[in-house]
Amino acid sequence: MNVFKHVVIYFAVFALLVYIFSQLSLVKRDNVQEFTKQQEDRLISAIKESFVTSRTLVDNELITNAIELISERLLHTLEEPKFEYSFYVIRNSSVNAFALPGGVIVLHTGLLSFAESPEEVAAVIAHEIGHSEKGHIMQKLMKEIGFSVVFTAITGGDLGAISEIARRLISTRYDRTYEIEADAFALQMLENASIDPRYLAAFFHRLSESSDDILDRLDILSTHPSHSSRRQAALAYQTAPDFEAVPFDGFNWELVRGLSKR
Amino acid sequence: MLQSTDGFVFPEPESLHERQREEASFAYLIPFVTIIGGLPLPIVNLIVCVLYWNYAKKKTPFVRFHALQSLFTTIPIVLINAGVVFLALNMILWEMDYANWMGGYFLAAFLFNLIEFVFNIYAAINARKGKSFLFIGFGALAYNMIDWEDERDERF
Repeated sequence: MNVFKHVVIYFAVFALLVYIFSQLSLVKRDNVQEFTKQQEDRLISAIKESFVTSRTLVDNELITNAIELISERLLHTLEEPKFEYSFYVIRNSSVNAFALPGGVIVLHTGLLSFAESPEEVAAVIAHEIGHSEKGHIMQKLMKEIGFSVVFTAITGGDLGAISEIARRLISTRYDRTYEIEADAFALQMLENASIDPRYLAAFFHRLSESSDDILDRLDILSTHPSHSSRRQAALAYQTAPDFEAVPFDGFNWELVRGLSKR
Repeated sequence: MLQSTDGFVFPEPESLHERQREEASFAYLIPFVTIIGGLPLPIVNLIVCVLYWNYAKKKTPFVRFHALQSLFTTIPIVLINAGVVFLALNMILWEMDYANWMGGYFLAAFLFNLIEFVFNIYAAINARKGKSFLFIGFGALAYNMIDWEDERDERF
């Protein structure tokens, strides 16, 4: 018994040390340094400017109205949004959506034509809002590009560097933990907006059954094997007993899809 | 960590042959000898300790005691190091995301290995001098498991 007691003490001391050292945050891999509000604002407007001007924005009212209706319903569920969100639809056939700093959310027409229902688009938008609200975008920016480079780009006002930052921001993936966090956020948000959260799982499922080409280019669903577990998590999400899904109205989704395919 | 040897009867250092002291001392040096194999796969350390114990079983109680004490103290550190290897493999091969507790685990494991290293050096030196000592917990267990009356007729 004496030995057993000592073995327990040995591992208890070890566990205590692990706990104490964990509290030290040995590796600060996220933003150790932070931008001032003013610098961040400048970065946001520069990225927005360089990004939006270099892409073909869709100005079809039917499409933009539909996105506005979907996003408004989602945003109503946020008590205190971190940003003033703005949504852009870009003419691009790849199935993609991404969030830029400052609450800018960009959707490709490919995503709209792929989605069988507005609820699926809502699920993707909710996921991207999740990345924005949880501050993942700035963290990814720091991790992928580094504080000093971003800082120089802002203060130097070099448009080439800023558009490169925007490009990198779009082409790199989030950490898996961030994806899971954004999924959890999206599921909650969908429920609050009276949209069935299972549409997120349905969307994942249809994507995984589509061609690899789409998967490769898709930001929301990484090619990491964990995507099936993300789908499982979305399926396992329990809505409140009195939950009742309310369908979208005010636009014809098939028409929006058809216009997006052009 | 050592405990008092009061109440435990050990052979007098003068009564021990040079070879016995060397063999006892070697039991504590094994973790260093096998460090090359033991770094990527800590189980190697444990296997070699068991093999050495198997060899020492036929020796005098003094050698048997030190081999067993060394084996016992190696087991927990091997378990801790197996955790390090497991985490490192996950991070490298399966891209597990880093979390703060992992850094804490690595640092705590490093500290425990360092303490183990210091005590093993101390133990090897003292065993070489023919002295006996008890590591807390495991020492007394090893002492009680040895049949001190069973003096093998060894020729040196």
